[in-house]
Amino acid sequence: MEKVKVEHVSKSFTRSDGKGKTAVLEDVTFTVDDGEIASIIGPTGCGKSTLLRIMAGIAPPDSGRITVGGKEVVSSANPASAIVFQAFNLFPWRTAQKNIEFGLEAKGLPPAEREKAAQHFIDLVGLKGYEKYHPHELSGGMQQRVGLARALAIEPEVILLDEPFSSVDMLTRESLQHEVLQILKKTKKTAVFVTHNIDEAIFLSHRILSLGGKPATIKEVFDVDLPYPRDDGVMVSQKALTLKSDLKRALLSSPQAQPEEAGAA
Amino acid sequence: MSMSLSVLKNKWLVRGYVLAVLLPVWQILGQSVNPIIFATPGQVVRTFASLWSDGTLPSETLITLETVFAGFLISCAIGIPLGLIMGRIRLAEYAIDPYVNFIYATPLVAIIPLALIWFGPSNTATYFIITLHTVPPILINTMIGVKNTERTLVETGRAFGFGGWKLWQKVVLPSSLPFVMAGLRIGIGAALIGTMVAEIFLFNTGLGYVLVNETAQFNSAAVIAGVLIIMTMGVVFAESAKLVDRRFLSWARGASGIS
Ligand SMILES: Nc1ncnc2c1ncn2[C@@H]1O[C@H](COP(=O)(O)OP(=O)(O)OP(=O)(O)O)[C@@H](O)[C@H]1O
Ligand SMILES: [Mg+2]
Repeated sequence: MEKVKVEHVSKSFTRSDGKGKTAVLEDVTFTVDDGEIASIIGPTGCGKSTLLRIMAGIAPPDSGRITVGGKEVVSSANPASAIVFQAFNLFPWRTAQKNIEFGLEAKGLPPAEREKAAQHFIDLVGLKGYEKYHPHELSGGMQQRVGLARALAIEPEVILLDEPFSSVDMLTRESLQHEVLQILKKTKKTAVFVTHNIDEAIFLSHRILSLGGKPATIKEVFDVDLPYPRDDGVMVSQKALTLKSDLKRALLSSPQAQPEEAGAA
Repeated sequence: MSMSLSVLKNKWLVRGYVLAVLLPVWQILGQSVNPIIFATPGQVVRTFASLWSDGTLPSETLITLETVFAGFLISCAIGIPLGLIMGRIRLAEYAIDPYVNFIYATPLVAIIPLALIWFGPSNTATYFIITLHTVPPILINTMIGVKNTERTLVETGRAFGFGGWKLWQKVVLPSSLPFVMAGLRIGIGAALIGTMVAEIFLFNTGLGYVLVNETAQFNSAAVIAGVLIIMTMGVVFAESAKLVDRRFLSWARGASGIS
């Protein structure tokens, strides 16, 4: 069953000099099934974060529509989905714990329940002992984990993750990937990851969408026909290696976005 | 720790030395000048003690303090809400901002004649002068705080389900707090200036009355004693504001990289 439907979404930005618009996304269409984990890969600057923000209801599309669980996402709060930001977007005046409780406050949970839930996710992402730290006292990786816990804490039907493991070292990254994957599978959540990392996309997803072009569209869709858990044995199987080279080709065929020259045709 | 402690010790040592030089210089100067014009530290201390024990200084200081705080609170009650509105609504900013700047740019004493004509020498005139000087820094800083709220944080607040007034309460207000505090810090100093201007030139009460009255009697030791109390007030206000900052806004110093 389809959980998330993205239909004919286009988005362009007015340039800061006010002269014309840059089209970033054009006619992006795809669906994500209930309980499915999908990844979006694409070169830097192609519009992945923009697409995720539109899906979260933070930015409105110029045209097209998004539905989550059959309900249209309008440009406002969308409690059915939660987003993990590439740039963390933590509240600097709140401690790690209070940041994680943020979404629960919006849900109107009483303080005792908020604390309990926050503690659970603090343990889960490995931030025990850092509850009272403010974001500026945490490393980038720790901030990223706070952002992750904040999104997981509201137990959304759909979770949107924008490069959620980019600021941690390789070992932490692998263990976090495991943890997050387990949470997602256990709670049967629908998830959309944005990532640059092909291995990560293969490790996590049922399906991988490659976004590319200028303006960007969905170029190709790859089914990841590999069993979970995707341990090292699975990741070096023939199927996985073939998929990996296919993905690499897809990424390479879509050149990195360049800033447009003034006066270019 | 030992490092910072020794630096601290040094800092106070330096200040002690400077004072140890200044006091004798003052004493010598005070003795060599006509006592109507200047007074020695000793005379000031004696005059201070007698004016304090006869109740003049405590009661007048209290009046001045009350005026400063009442004026400050009135200014907060006007400046903070208005600043929030102007930060939120572009139209309000465009409409009000130039007048605030005009008022703030006008030297306060230039308003005294108008205040006299409109209100006469009265408490009303005093508070008029104080608020005129204190509202602008509070208002402007509050407005800047609201306008400086990061768009990404507002979006994040929205993405996690807050909207309307709740979004303000959870994101915009805490984010503007360091700016509002800066406004209050300047504001309490401005309220003291406004109070002194009003007490001296407009409606002689409080320490302003002491200064005017003792000047008329050529009692320069008493005038200096009054000025010392006013100075102390200014320093105490500034230091308390710093303390509040350090206690409640450590996140802002850490986040901005300015310590
Ligand atoms: N608010 C905005 N205003 C103007 N242009 C924007 C805005 N947000 C994004 N863009 C432009 O849209 C394009 C896509 O940006 P986006 O952040 O979605 O890329 P991305 O695929 O997430 O890149 P990366 O992999 O580096 O994170 C970029 O060219 C960027 O300059
Ligand atoms: Mg991005």
